[in-house]
Amino acid sequence: MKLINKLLPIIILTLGFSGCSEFLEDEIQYTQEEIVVESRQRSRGLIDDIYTDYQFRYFTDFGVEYLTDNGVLNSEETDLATGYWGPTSNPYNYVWQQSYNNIRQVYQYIELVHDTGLPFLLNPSDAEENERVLARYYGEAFFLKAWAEWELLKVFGGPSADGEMLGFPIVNGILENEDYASLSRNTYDECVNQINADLDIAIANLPLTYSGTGGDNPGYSVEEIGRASGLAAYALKAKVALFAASPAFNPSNDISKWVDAAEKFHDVIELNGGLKSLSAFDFSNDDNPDHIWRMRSSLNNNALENRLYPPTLYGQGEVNPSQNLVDAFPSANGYPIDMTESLYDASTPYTSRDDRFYKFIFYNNDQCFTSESCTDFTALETFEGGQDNFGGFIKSEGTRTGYYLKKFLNNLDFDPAALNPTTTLEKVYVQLGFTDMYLSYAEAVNEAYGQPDVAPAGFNFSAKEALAMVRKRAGLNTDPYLDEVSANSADFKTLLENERRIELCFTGERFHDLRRWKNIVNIEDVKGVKITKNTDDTFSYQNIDVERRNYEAKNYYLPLPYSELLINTNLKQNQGW
Amino acid sequence: MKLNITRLNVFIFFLLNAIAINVGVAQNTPLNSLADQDSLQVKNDDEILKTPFGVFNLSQTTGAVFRISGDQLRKTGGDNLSEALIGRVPGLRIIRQTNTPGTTGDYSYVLNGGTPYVLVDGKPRGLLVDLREVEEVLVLNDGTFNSSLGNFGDNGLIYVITKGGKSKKPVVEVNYQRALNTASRLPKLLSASEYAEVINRVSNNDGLGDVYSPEAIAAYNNGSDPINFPNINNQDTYLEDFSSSNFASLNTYGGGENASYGAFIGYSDWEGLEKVGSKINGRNLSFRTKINAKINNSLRAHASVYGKFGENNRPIIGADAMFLNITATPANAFPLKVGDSAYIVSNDFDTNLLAELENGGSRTDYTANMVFDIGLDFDFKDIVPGLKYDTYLMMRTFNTHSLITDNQPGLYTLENLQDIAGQDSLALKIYKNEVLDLDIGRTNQNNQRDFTYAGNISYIKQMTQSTLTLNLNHLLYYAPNRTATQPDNRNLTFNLNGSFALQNKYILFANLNSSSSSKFIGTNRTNFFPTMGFAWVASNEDFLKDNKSIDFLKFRTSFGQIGTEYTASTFLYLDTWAGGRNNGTTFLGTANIAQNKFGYSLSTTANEAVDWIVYNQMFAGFELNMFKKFNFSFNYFNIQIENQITKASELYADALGGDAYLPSLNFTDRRNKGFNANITFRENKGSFKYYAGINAGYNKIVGEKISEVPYPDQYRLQQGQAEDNIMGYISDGLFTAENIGSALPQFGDVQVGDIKYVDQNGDNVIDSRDQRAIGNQTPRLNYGINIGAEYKGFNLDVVGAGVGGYDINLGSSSYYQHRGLRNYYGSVNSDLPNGNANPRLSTIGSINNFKTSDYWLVNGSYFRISNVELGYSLPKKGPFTNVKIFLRGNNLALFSKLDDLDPEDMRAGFFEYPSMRTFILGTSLNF
Repeated sequence: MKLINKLLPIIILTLGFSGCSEFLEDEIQYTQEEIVVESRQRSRGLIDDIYTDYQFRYFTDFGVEYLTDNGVLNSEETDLATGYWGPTSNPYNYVWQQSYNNIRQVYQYIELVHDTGLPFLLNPSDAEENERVLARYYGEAFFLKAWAEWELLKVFGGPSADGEMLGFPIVNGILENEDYASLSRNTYDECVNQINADLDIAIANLPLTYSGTGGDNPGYSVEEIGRASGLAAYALKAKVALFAASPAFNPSNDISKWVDAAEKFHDVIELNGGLKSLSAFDFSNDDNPDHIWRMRSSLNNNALENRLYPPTLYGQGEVNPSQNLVDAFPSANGYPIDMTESLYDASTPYTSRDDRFYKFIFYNNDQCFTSESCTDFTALETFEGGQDNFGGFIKSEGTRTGYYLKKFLNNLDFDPAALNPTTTLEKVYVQLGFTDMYLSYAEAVNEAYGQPDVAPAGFNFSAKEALAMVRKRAGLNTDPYLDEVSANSADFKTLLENERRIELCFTGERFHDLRRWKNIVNIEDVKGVKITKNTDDTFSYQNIDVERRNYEAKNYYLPLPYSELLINTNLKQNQGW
Repeated sequence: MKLNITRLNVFIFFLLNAIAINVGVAQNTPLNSLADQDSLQVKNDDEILKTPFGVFNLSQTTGAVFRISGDQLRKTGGDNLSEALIGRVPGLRIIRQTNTPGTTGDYSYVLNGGTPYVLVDGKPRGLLVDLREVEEVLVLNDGTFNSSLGNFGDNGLIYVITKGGKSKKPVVEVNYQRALNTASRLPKLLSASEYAEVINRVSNNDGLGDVYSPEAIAAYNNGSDPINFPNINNQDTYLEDFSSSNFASLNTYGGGENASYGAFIGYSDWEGLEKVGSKINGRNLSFRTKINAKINNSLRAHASVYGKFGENNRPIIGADAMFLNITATPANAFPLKVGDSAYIVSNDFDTNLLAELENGGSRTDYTANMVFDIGLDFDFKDIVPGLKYDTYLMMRTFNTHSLITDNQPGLYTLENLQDIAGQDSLALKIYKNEVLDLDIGRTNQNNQRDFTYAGNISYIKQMTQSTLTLNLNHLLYYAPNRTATQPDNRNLTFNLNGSFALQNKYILFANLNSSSSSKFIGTNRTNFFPTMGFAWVASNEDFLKDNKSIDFLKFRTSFGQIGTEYTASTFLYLDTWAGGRNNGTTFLGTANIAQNKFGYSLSTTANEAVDWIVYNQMFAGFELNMFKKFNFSFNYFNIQIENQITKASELYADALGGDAYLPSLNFTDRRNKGFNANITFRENKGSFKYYAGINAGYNKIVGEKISEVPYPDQYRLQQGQAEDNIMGYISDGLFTAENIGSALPQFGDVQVGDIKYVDQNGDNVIDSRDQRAIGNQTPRLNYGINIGAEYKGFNLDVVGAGVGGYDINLGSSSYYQHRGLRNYYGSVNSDLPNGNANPRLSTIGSINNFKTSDYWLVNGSYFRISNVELGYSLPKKGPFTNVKIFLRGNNLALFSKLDDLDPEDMRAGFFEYPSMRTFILGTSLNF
């Protein structure tokens, strides 16, 4: 044991290292909860962060447009649209997790920041601004929650196998992680009521619109445009009402739902000062009064141009609008091209068309961004063997339909052939706008009252007047065709649906419209055009089949996420899936 | 906590000591000869492996030891130890990750299915060692040894011993080698006309008509108009057939009782295959000096310095980008140059490699890696015979910096215009302006440092019937992370172990490991892991002692727990948030106003209970030597890897929001089972000596408890299945005109020539639910073959290495998957390596054909003649103890189902430098 005594100091010296608990304390500089939720400005980052999910969704929208008869992707077919849609796929699957994530973050904000009364500005002289900003963030929180719920309802709403019209599981708060696996879906009406209740809180706390300068209107100035507003909340209420009234979600055709929708759209339009002319198309205009809620990208962003421009404008020509959509654009005098009154000539199909055709579609021989005749760029060659087709200027890029998408693109404020080409214009991404409000109002009034040319009692304008505003912007100041169809509810409906298709093309709206109208089963196969250049420099046109479209009745609704149903047996799948 | 550990450790130490002292009477037993795996003569001294984490008597260990001498390894040329180990160690698979000259190869090591830890002279130095200074490599691969390094030792140790530091007559070794390297395999590329014909075929498949006219194809073929119809063979244009490299080294070591030393200096240079511009070229110098001096009777001091300094020049474009351009630019894309100076590109392909190599600029990388260590060895023999304390402190530093000149060469596109006379004339249109980099840029990319402090108290007592070895060691490892938001590596490891050998027949080993890591909090920060080992030397028993055929027979087994920390670069026990100013927020307001707001969200949910990942290891094996010529060793292992970390998000509803709300859990359990084995036969017939050996390793890892979606289709569930399974569809050939009519709904509109899939769940629809395990992606088996002979100074040694039992997914390489109108390779004109035909070619990418399916799987097995040496040693003369000249060949042949690519690295030659075949002529002199 003597030995041990001598050894002991050494052992203890060595083992002393285990006492180096300080060595094992690694102070990393990470962002802790306190750093976020106890700082006046940073804490509001919880809300500002949520907006990210709803901005610049162009390519998601295009992906949904490929499910319709409006267009195809130039490099791949869309299998879901060709009749192979099973319950395990849904291009909107992401909406489920994203929406609940954002709802959770809203409640995180309310619990960790709002309820603690943390001021935004400390200085007593800023008391008014402080109060406004606190209320505004609270209102934004509820608007964003309502928006997440709206996306859930739009995407996943539908009848269960037993026919009950269901929405999504309503979550008002933060649950334990395990408890999310036992949620069950609320009824469609309960969901509508929940969204409206959340929007009422938003309306009570948000300014109607943002205007004035920061000094005159602290917290509510134009510098905040892009945030949720009271008007946006009203507009969202109206959209929710429109879907709730639509055939797919209103199987008994309860007319009062259409009336409700008409009233809500009327409210939005009246709150904006009545039926006003729409501003010119310009997706680089960040101060467009028609945009109720829009997101804005940074400047100098060429993503859209690079991917959408035709090859001779150094783009990849990714989105190819269909011949079906091109045929939907009326003649310059407002008549559909298949009517004798139209100015349409099949041998020169691109002359004398509705203004919007020239603004939305790149076509063969096109050389202008805004009208039929101007020379912004060298004439496009989408004909067989042309520079803007496969094997042309960029050999591996071309169009499957004979067209490229022009809508949303900047008006070539830069030369794409230049060295390091760039645009200096921003782009806005419109989530809620008056074009949609006018068209939806016209639809709701026509469905509710059946008389498109009469302003019903309590309404200040008719369905026809609302639709006329939209067509006026397209250059139809005299519109005999509108006058003709407005005498008849069914004809008016046909025109309105076509108008909606054109105006809202490539915003992802048509897919949902076709579903809610229960029209998706009647969808046409996607057509394109094969253009041959003749020796006398004229062109011949021949329609070609591009992609099949095939939907069944189950496609009125979308499937809930497959793996979610495996985890949560309380969830009922939509009919047919 | 501190007090508890101290008490516990001391208690156990006392306990073991007490047991030890009560056993046996002192008597010296000569140490038995160890199972000798190679020709190196083992001396008694060598059987005591003295490491900073314990002293082990290798002949009386319960562990599995595989030894290979430096001389044996040096039959492989060059300076790279990893290359030399290939095919020579049972169960060890070494994969070269990059072939770019000037890189160390970034070899990855797989031993028994896991990653082993490399020690140089017992210290955690990583692979900072030169093949030419290696004395011996020991592969220690079972529970006995794994436990000793705690956190680092989860999958065995590669223990490298460098020359010097031993009492020996002074030796000087001089070595020079010159190597010629050539690409062993390059992908087949298409000529301009072949490419044009394929593009026409594809285009016509989709009814788009010819892209290239017959006249154009003829012009590509006859070369009549090289400007408008170029036909560039990129591989010939840019690549030389051979590159050379040189290796020279000087090694001297020796010393006596009072001081021993070792000094090594090695020089290596290399160059790339580039034919134009400046080649990759570089050189490095590495050195190691060691000194070990006796201060007095009870204290020795030792120190060593290792350094490696490198310089590498290369074109700025980088080796991988160069090969990508060589491969992916079709032969007809553009003429490289028009006139003397105009580099051409096209709208489709806008990089001109010639311009980049000639005028793009260059980059020089400097690296300096250094390792310093200093240590003291105390011998307390005056106090307690056999008691020693060895300790050392080590620092490693890594520095790199680079000088960069990055020019943008002027680039032009060709335009055909009509001149005034209506004649076609060629015009050049500027595509990119020339920009010359006038300043030489300097980057300071990487400075990394780490520290180790370790020591061991050992006590050896020889008794009449038995030997007792006790070790108590400590290891502190500290690698600061330069990023303030990421954790350092901070580890403390203690081991207390004892080995007791009775009558040289029964060996008992026990270790208690205490591991501490800053990655855990609270009581989880320190954890204890025990190991036990038993061995029985049957050949020392009376009934076998005089057996004529069995020279040595030993059975051994070990059971142990090893704890390791997680690798995540955050602390999983902390709630962390992510974000910052304007982070992910939208632009507000109108016009160009300043944005000033914040975006924050939760990024990690804490789990304070996060705990060690535990390897429950069981090893069992035997060693058998027979007839003085036949050695056989076998090791079986069964390792349960418990409590691996996952968020198990598959088990939670997505409705809870993102993964950020889920804490990391100790959840996953896996089991790794397999064996490694080695057989060597050795015979000397007079002056003719020969040997043949084969080694092999097999393992399979099964996910025993994994987080997975509870699919109703049983065949989709992977719990209890091999974790390297490839999930995909079962194919049934291509659709033909006969069966296309009865096609089930698959993916999009299928046509004749598309892949047909088999419906697994009988719902008459092919969708994601029809996926099942179709193969496995990790080699289950790896093996090596070593044969050689010696006759009158001549020697021939061959090493072959192979793997088997896995599938390669051809779909993962764009060499085999063709789509669109852009890239096609030689593979388009032949069937896939598995015999399947290429599916329908289309301008529109097929969404059906490129799903993962067994249509794309091919047996990945391959065998490589990895090294051959033909040498001649001159008879001893004068001061020279050994003079040898030799011819070596590396990577001489490869047998595989893949003809164009290297199955070990499908990117080699395609997107990266090709794997090289090397021929070396060299000489070594010892005196």
